[in-house]
Formats: sequence, C-alpha cells, structure tokens
Amino acid sequence: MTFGSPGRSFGSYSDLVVVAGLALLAGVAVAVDAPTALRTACGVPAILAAPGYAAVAALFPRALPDVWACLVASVTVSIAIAIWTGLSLYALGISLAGDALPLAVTAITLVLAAAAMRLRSTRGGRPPTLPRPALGHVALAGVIGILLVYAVATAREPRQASDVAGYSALWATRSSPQAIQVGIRSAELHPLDFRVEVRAADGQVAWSSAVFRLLPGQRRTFDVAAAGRGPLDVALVRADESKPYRRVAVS
Amino acid sequence: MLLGAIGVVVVGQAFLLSRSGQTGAVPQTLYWLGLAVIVAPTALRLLSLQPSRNERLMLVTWAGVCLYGIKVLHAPTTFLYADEFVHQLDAQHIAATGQLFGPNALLPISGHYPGLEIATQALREATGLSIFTSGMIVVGAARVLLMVAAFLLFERISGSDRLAGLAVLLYGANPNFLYWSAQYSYESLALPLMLVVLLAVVTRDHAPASQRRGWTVIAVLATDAVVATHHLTTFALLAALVLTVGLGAMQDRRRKQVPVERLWPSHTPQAHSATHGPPSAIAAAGESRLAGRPRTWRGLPLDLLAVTAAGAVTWTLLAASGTVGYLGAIFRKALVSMVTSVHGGGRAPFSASPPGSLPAPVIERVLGVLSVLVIVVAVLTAVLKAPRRTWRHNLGQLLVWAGVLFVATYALRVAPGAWETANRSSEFLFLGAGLLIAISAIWVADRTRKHLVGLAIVAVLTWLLFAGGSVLGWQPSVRLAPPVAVRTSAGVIRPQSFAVADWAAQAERRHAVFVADDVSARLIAVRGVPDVLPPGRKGVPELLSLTTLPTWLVPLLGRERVDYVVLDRRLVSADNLAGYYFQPPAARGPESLRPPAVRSKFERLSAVRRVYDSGDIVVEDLREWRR
Repeated sequence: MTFGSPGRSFGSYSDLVVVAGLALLAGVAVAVDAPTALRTACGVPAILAAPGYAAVAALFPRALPDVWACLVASVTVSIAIAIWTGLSLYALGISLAGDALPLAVTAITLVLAAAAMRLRSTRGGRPPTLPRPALGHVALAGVIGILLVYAVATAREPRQASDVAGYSALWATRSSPQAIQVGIRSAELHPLDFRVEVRAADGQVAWSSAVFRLLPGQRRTFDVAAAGRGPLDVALVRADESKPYRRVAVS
Repeated sequence: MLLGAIGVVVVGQAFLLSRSGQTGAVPQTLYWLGLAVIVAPTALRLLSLQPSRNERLMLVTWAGVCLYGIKVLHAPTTFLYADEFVHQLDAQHIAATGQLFGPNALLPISGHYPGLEIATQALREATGLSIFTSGMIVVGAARVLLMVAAFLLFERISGSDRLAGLAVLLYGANPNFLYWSAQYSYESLALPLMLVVLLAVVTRDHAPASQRRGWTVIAVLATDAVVATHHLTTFALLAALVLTVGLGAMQDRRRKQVPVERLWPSHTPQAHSATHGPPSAIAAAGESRLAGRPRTWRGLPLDLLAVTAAGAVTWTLLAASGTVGYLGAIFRKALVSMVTSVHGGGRAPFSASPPGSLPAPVIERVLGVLSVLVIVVAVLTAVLKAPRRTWRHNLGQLLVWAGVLFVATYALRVAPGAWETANRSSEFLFLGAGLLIAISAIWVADRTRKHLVGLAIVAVLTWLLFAGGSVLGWQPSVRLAPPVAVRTSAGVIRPQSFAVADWAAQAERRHAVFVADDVSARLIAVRGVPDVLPPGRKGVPELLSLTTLPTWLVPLLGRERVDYVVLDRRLVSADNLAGYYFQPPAARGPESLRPPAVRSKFERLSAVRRVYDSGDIVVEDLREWRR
C-alpha cells in the first residue's frame, strides 16, 4: 500500500491508520448504538486523543514531538476540537443532544488524519516508535489495575453505618377538590410500623389508616377522600408511640 | 507505582471506615498513611539522580493520577462537591435540550462558559456513559494533562528534569489539589489547558523554525479552549502573558547595555551541568540555540497575548457579559473582608473550617501551621538561592513572583471573605511555590543524600506539605467521606436533603418556584427543577435564618412568585460542602440547630401550609397565601 510518494509503505502511516480506524469505529458504534462497553472502549480515545493526535501529526509532518509532548498536545487539541465543534454546531443550530457532536468529531479526525498522511508522504516523515513494554511491566500494570478496580468497586457499594440518624418523611397534597394524597417515605434504619391520621379543623379524626409497615427506603401513598376545602391536619404516628411523629397540613 | 496504588487502596479503606460511621483515630491514621505512601516514596525517587527523564515523568503523572484517585474514591457514585452541582446542571441542560448557554439557577455565569460541559457531552454521546462518569473521565484526562504539561514546562524553563519532577509533585501539595482541583468544575479543565499554552510559549521559543508554527497552532487552540471554559483562568493566562512580554521587553532593554555572558552565565551546557546535573538533550539543544539568538520583540509571545486578549474580550462581550460583575463582586467581598479583619474580625487561620463551623482539631491546625512554616522557609530559601539568571525563559522569573505571592496570600486567610480568594488563587500561584520549594528540597537533599536521617526528613517534610495542603484546603468534617448512602437491613437510605429534593422534583411540583438552603437548593436543581432561587439571592439567607418574617421580605416572596420554602433547622444546611452527608452524633446536638422560631415563623400566616415534614426539614406551601 502506498500513499503519495512511491515506496512509502503502510508502516509509514500505521499510527494514523490506527487513529482513523479508531475514529471510524467509534463513529459507527455511535451510529448503530452499540453496547456501552464497546462505545466506551472506542469513544474515550476517539474523543480525548484521536483528533488531537491527527492534528499534531499534520502540524509536525516530519517528526512528531517526543512522546510526552505529543501526549500533551494530542489531549489538548482533542479537547479544543470537541469544544469548538460543539460551539460551531450550536451556532449552526444543530442540537448537541444527539449523535451530531461525536460524529462531527469523528469526521474532523478522519479529515485531519488524511491531511496528516498527505503531509507526511510529501515531507518524508515517519511514525513514532513506541517502546515495547517488558513482561514485568505488563504484570505490574495488571496488579495495579486489580488494586484500583477493587478500591473503586468497594467504594461504590453503600455500607452499613453506625450512629446514623434515620428519619421518615410525610407529605400531603390536594390531588383533586374531593381528595388529598398522603405520602410517607421511610429512611429509618429498621422496619417500622406506622399509621396515618387525617383530622378536620375541629380536631375530629376524618380518616385513619390501618397500621402498616415500611422497610427502610420504602414509600407508600394514600388517596384519602376529603370533600370540601377545609384545612386538614395530617399526622404520621409510629405504632410504638402515641404522639404524632410527623405533621403536615392541606388546605 | 505499585506503592502509589497501595496508597490509594489504603486511603480507600479509610473512606470505607468513615462511611461506616467511624470517626476515630483509625480512619484518620489510614488516610494520612495512604497519602504518605503515595507521595513520600515518589519524592525520594524524584530527588535521586538515578531516574531517567521518562521515569520521572511517569512517577509524577502516576502520583497525580493516584491523588485524583483519592477524589474519585471520596465521591465514587455521584457529584457531591458544591461546584459540581453547578456544572452538572449545565451538562444536564445540554444533554436534555442540545442547547448551550442555558439558565443556571445555582451560578448563572457558569452556563456562559460551557467548554467543560461540551467536552463531557461529546464523550457522553460517544460512549453512552452517564454525565457523572463522562465528567470524571474528562477531569481525569485534565489531571494527566496538568502533570505532564507542568513537568515539561518546568523542565524547559529550568533545564532540569530532576527539578521539574519534584516541582510538579510538590505542586500537588497546594491546598486545592487533592479535592477542589479534582472536582467536576470548569477550572479543573481550564488550568491544565492554560499550562499547555505556557508550555507552547516556552517550547516554540526554543524549537527549530519548522516546529514553531505547530506549537503556535496548539497554543492558539488551547487558548481558545481556555476562553470558552473558565473566566478566571482566561484572565490568569492573560496576566501571565502580559507579564512574560513585559519581563522579556525589560530584559531586551538591559541586554543592549550588558554583555550576554554577564546576564546569562548559565547559558552554556557546562555551566548548567554544574548547577543542575546533566541537562537533557532537549535542554542542551535549547541552550545552544538560545545562546546565539538575539532576543527581540519577535521572540516574545505578542501573538498569543493578542489572541488571548481578543478571545477574552470577544467572549466576555458576546457570550458572558456578566463575568465582570461576577468576578468584581468576589474581589470586592474579599477586599471588604480584609478591611474588616484588619479592624479585628478575623477567623482561625490555617484551617479550612468555614465560619460558624466547629474548629479543626488541634493536631490538624498544628499540621497546617507547620506546613505553612516549611513552605515559607523553603520559598524564601529558594528565592535567595535562585537568582534570575538560572531560568532559561522569563516565565521562570514570573513563577518566582507567583511563589512569593502565594506566601503573601496566607495573610488573606485570616479574613472570612478573603479566605475564598486566597484559596482559589492557590492553584495558580502554587505553580511558582512548588518550583521554589523543589529548589530548596534539592538543595537540602544534595547535602544529605547519603544520610538516612536526611532522606527521612525529606520524606516527612513532603508528607507534611501534602497533609498541610489537605488541612488548609478541605474541611476536616468531610475530608474522610462521611456516609451519604447507608445500607440498612432492608435497603439503602440517603440523608434528608436528598429526600426533599426527590419530593420537589415530582411532576406536580417540577415547575414550582422553590427557596431552599444551599444544600437542598443544589440537590433540587440537579433533579430538574428549574426555578430554585440561588442561595445567594438577596433575601434568601434572611428568609431561611431569621426568627421572624421581616416586612421587606413579604413583597419579595410575591415578586419572585415563590411557591415553596424549604426550611432546614440544621446549621449545616448552609454548608455546601458538608451538608450532603449524614451528620455524626457530635454534630447533631442542640448547638447545631437554628432556633425553633426560624421554622415556626410561617405559622402566623394563616394561608401558609406545611406540606412536607421529615424531622429536620419542613416545606411551607405559599401558593394560597400569595393569591
């Protein structure tokens, strides 16, 4: 396979072919709504590195900066391209809430990669040579990866906690002229038994629920018939106590 | 690198214990130990003459990633820092509507700088990940960018990869590095981009002609990205470029009168080796080029200065006209607070406890004071040891000034209103301080290299700087990730502010106007309720904290069409860093509550109904009263 100058082999553009292929794959994955794992594997480098790398290769066709400077330049330019592509789409009246933004970045990456190939072929540039990692380094990276995955996985799991104060929330709202809706959400540490009382303005109990049990995190709503516009007091009473635990009112 | 990962795991264990409600010595010890395991061995290795340039770069980049890992473990499932809610709201608006520059009830100005959110949206749409995960990846990439760009910048300025490596690591000791600069916020992205611009300025100055254009293009792209991302960083970049040009012009004028050799005696590879050890190939090449190159106006970054100035002015005029007022208010507040403090109204210095909260433990304040002393001594020592001629670019001189200025900002930390200004400036100014501290550290290490005691002192001092930074930059009550999602016998529960936010976001209330404390307001806003009055809006703090309803507030409630007022009796509800968590028993006493009359003041208004009650939080319905 040759590009431009005779005798230039695929190896002269291998990095750019990989970049273009990655961008293309990411674009296709977005277009066909591929599984998140595949889209993530392609999408992260396709947005945060590939466009910048293609641009840097076009800006330095003879010899790329050293690998660290190249990394900095690639990530920076990639982010800048994403930002200015978004601003441009917005200025053109194109929504950023769909596939347009990643697909536009993909298109820009492909154009830049093609331009870089062309410039490299005319100026006689070479792709960078990356050092091959030693087996020991790969194993070390594996161990480190396992440690970090363990740390993140355990951190994401909710823990049981001592000395935390649980609570329950009560609310009430008029759902129609004839009815009110009463809601309870338990965030207590243990299952608790409750009942709800609705009292009219004269203090008479207008409606009372049976005792019900809520588990931590559970919620329950009651639709209570309450014709007329009199103010109503709603109380949540714990089954083990006589005084109201929570109190709200409805007009 | 393995030690760094182990350090992250150890800190993660400290967070797990803290989330389990343990607040004693064990989680604290694990936290400080984990931090030490990450930074102390790295510092010792970087001080050594043995590592290659690549190894140094890998070490500092990995240290930066590990320190970022601490933030990720601190809030691994959702945004929990005050500014993160602001930007989450912007990102949600873009994701929902596809439009930029949307309204932001929490911080209106942030919607006018959408760079971070656009990058997040591009990644989110490309990967299918959530805003939270996409945002964390973008900020993580920015962290890598920060470490590598800072290393290359320091290396090009000083000509020493050893100094550069240590300076970048020590930059991580700035009070904001561990948490604040790692949060999902526009500055977390803009600062690394700014460093890339400065790196490009220095690199193209030393690069062959064929590469200068490339670095100029990179600098312009990075500058434009900064302009679209963060106001303060844009102005910091502008200031850095103005000062660089000014310094360069002054040096040019002096150069006409003094022979080059007298001003730049270190500008030969031999002289440089004597000072810093063997220079890298790039550095040596740069030296030789610089030595024979007349420095004129053409060598100054006037083009980038013009691009930045034009970009800042254009963006401010066309897209973010409120910027000047917003920044002006912050600086005005700092100034007024400083004047107040001079007349005797200060706060406890050297701790991150906000005004009104419990003071930091004594041991932490001691750590804070010691770290400040080390920094002051190290910075001043380096200023005396590193005269201007050491630097290969006048940005070096600028960094020296920044380091000295950072020390001066310690004075601001005694003023409540100026504390924020001092704290926020630290991630910029500490670039210079880190460089100066590294110079002093190398000076000390080179005299104690063969003594274990000396190495131990360096390791302890490095840890002390990071620990002190953590103490100064983040409140003690939330440093160790208190519980926010608790597993019970039957399910997972969250604090009351989350419950009231879920209630507020139900369909029938989604378009109502809410007034809420700082914590609940953020949680309500990011659940899709667009009309939450900003916690800083005139009248809102009074409404939530006074025991009576002043007459001047009544028309305000009508004018703003307030439907619901969320009243939280806990004082911590005004603390937008600590208020999201379950509070420990020590923080649940009567002294942690507002007077009962604060919540009962609406009882006198007959048409106002209390429609929600979760114990600490109640919601008053004002709709009928307004009618």
